Amino acid sequence: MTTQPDRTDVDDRIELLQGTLDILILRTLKRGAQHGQGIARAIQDTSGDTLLVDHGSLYPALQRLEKKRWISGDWGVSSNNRRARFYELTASGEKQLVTARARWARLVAAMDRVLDQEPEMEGS
Amino acid sequence: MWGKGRSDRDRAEEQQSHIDLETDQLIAEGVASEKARAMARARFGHNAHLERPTSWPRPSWLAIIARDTRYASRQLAHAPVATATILLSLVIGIGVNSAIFSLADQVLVRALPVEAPHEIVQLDWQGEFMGGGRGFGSLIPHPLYVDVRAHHDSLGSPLFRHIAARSPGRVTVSLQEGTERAQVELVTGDYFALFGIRPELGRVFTADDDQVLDGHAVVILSHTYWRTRLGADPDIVGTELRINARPFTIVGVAPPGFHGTDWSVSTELWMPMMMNAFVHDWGELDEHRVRFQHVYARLMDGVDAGRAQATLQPWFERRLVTDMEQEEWPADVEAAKLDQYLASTLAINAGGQGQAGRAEELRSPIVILSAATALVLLLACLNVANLSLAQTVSRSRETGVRAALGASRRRLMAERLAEAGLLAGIGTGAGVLLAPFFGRWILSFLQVGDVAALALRPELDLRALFTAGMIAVVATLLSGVGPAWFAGATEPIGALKAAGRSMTGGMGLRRALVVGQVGLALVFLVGATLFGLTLRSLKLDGPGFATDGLMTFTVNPLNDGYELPESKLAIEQILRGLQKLPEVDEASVSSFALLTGGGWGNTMLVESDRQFMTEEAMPMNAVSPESFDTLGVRVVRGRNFDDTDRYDEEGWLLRSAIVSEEFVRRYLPDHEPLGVRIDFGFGGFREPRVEIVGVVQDYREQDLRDREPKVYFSVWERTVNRGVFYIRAQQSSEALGGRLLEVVKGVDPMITVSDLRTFDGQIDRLLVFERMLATLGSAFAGFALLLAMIGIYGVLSFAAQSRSKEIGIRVALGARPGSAAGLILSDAAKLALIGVTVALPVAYALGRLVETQLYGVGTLDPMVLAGCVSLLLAVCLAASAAPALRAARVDPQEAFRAE
Repeated sequence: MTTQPDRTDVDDRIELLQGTLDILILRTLKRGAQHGQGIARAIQDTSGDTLLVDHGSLYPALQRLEKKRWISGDWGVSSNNRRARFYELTASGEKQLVTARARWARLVAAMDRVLDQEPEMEGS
Repeated sequence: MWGKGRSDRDRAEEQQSHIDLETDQLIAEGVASEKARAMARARFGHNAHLERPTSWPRPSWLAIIARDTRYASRQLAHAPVATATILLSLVIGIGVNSAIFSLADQVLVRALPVEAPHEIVQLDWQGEFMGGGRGFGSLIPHPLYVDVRAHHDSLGSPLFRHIAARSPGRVTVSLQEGTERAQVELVTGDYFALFGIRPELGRVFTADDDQVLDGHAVVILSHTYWRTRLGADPDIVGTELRINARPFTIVGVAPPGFHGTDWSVSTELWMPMMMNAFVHDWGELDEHRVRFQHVYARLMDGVDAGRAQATLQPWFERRLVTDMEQEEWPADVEAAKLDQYLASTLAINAGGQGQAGRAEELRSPIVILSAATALVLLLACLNVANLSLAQTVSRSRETGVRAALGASRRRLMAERLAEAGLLAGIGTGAGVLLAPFFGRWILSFLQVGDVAALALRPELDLRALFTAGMIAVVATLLSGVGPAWFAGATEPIGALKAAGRSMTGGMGLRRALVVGQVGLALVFLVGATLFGLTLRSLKLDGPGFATDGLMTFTVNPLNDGYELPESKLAIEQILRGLQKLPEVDEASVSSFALLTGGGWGNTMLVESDRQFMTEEAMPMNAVSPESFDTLGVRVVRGRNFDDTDRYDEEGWLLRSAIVSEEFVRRYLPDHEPLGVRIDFGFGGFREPRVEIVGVVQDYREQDLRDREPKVYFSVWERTVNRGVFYIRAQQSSEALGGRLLEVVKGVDPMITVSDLRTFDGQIDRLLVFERMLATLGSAFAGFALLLAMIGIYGVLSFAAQSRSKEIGIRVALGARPGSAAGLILSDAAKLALIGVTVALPVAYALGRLVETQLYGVGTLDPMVLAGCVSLLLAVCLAASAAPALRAARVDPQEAFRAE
């Protein structure tokens, strides 16, 4: 019996902002087709366990993205031989990823600019 | 909510697989397998998704229909009277319509069962023919047929691919069982090719059978005749058949289903036209001024009837002139008549339907019935609409509650539609199933005696069935959709508040529908009364002579191998034999049968103080001196025929005539009729040769409506080829029939007796159409009246219910309790009167259309109209009695409490 590694220090983890899950899914799928559980783990792993993904909430997002035809899903078999539904990025999904990334970059830059003012404001 | 496209199950499976994958991974990462699953579930978060689909399962459309149908049938069962009435309306509307229109199709529209009937045309001489005719319909003289056949291509390209003439006749056939009469069609050689009829056995006629007058003793059998009379003998071709005592060679058998061009009789034999005079003992083919043939042609490709007529007309006009040089052309033709003759046209009409012979008379009754049944269907639709509306309104409270509980408009409409669809389905289905019975019932009116020969079948025309069914289904669905719209539009609050108070939704429409029903009921009532009275007066007036104890039969010795002088002797011998029978009171013989719808007719030249020609042809007959006594009619002036009125040389010489009282009234009103000289009005006799020696009471000669003036000649002054015997006995019976046959056999066993019958049956046969119109009319009227009653009852019950508070207030304020009944009754009277006012002009207009079918009653007969209106008002008031009574019993306290 092994102890479970404590990866869920809840206080340190950040709940996802509305709409950011989509971009994370798209980015994750950029690496190749993946099923829902794989996507959830990938987001958690690549974010250094910082981003909290409620696995269940992934599915409405997948559903939404599939409906927008940015991703497409189909049943396949996982590496350990389980039936799973695999998603992959479509061409318009790739485009969307580029657009969303640019928008995210702009948002981050804008956030940074606003947040970076703080010391000056303190100084005044 | 998640999007559509994948099933809930598929999604649940995906999520299940997620949990499994996560569990696997957790175990791989070292989590204890017992814990791993719980942890995977926990990570999944709100795993409610797994337990429960994201929405209620969407039922399949089949389940929805099943559910709606169940609901609809429950709703319908809640209102059994309304449901039954709707179903009855649909069944009768559809059943009767399909039956009548199938008949109408056979009578009015159907093409002959021949190749490309639309290419077939029939020739018709329109204008003054200046001669006589035998037969019905568009008659053409044989020489004209020959000339058209020879000349239709003389003006460029040929107009017709084929052209053929035919005329009907009856012959006596000797079979093993004895002799019997058969229906024959005399046809020219091109006839079978024209209609595209190929023989079942042997051959059909060709131009080779058109060569020698009286020289083609060959016959083709109809498939039915071959089967029923000759045992379907496959080696029949080449054998002999004795027809009119002469051997004919059977050369072919026609294919099944082809019974000639006259659908009103079934042709059993075909003979070459060259045998016409042999069959008929009249009708030499070279006569220019006697016509008895129907001429059909098949148009060439690219030629239409209009062009054919236009091309032939100039040639025909030239022929009209050259025809006047023929020796048969009458002398001294009046100028006006000559102008009419020269203005004649040779019309080329559509001929693919064949002709109807005597059954032409069937056309107007069938048209009337078709119109009436269309009205029945309209009435049924009105009724369905009215009742559907009533149900919607009465359910508005329930609908309101359901809408308040969240039933969607779509849902409510779907349910109403399911109800309408269910009604339409059951009603139409039952109507379709019952249509054959209606068809047989209607046809049973027509299958009496002679008319039974009509080749009408009780078969149902699928198009008619489909059309009537579609109309009913559409009407039902429409009347379902309308209310469904209301149902969907129900504002929950409004409906709940209004319930029990003033639910007037659709009331205006309902009242309008009831007015329509009342109006239609009046139209039917007037129609049924007019036809009923017509039947009654025809029966009451009768033929003008007593029919009980009267029997008749006919002999045609010429068809049994006799020549003219001998046939006269044989007929007189039979008459003397009949007179010797102890049970026979009177016996007589004449040349034409009474009351068979046709006979002998001609215009007459009359010389009183001036010489003139009668306007119209009048019925005539040649009778033996005992005839009037046998019929029981009196010679009122002058003398009866007697032994002096005979001409025993060969040929004939008419010297004396007896005219009817109507003849005197119409043509000799101010002149002593006895001694006046008359003659046949062929157009040119300068000195009439026949003297009027007596005046006889009026009686019907051709049919029961016959009011024409008449002329009678002495049968013994003519050549006698045929004898129609009339026998008056104490009672007419089969036993007497046997004795009569023995008499004929005693004279010569070779002589064939036909049409042996009593006279009562004859009167029934004559009234076939009248009885059909009267009976069906009454049935329709009763149905219409019933529907109007139900309509009025429904509307007034509803009004009484919804006005109970108003009535309560009135009573509370001191109105007499009974006065409320008056309120309802006056409402009923108002509806009925509006209906009557609207319908009277319609009834009158329709009455004018059927005027020719009426007898002894006028379209505007005030008694008829007053009677019908009174009956209708009485029925309407009776229907409103129950609601009125309920209104009268309203207790003010109850009425308020009910709020």
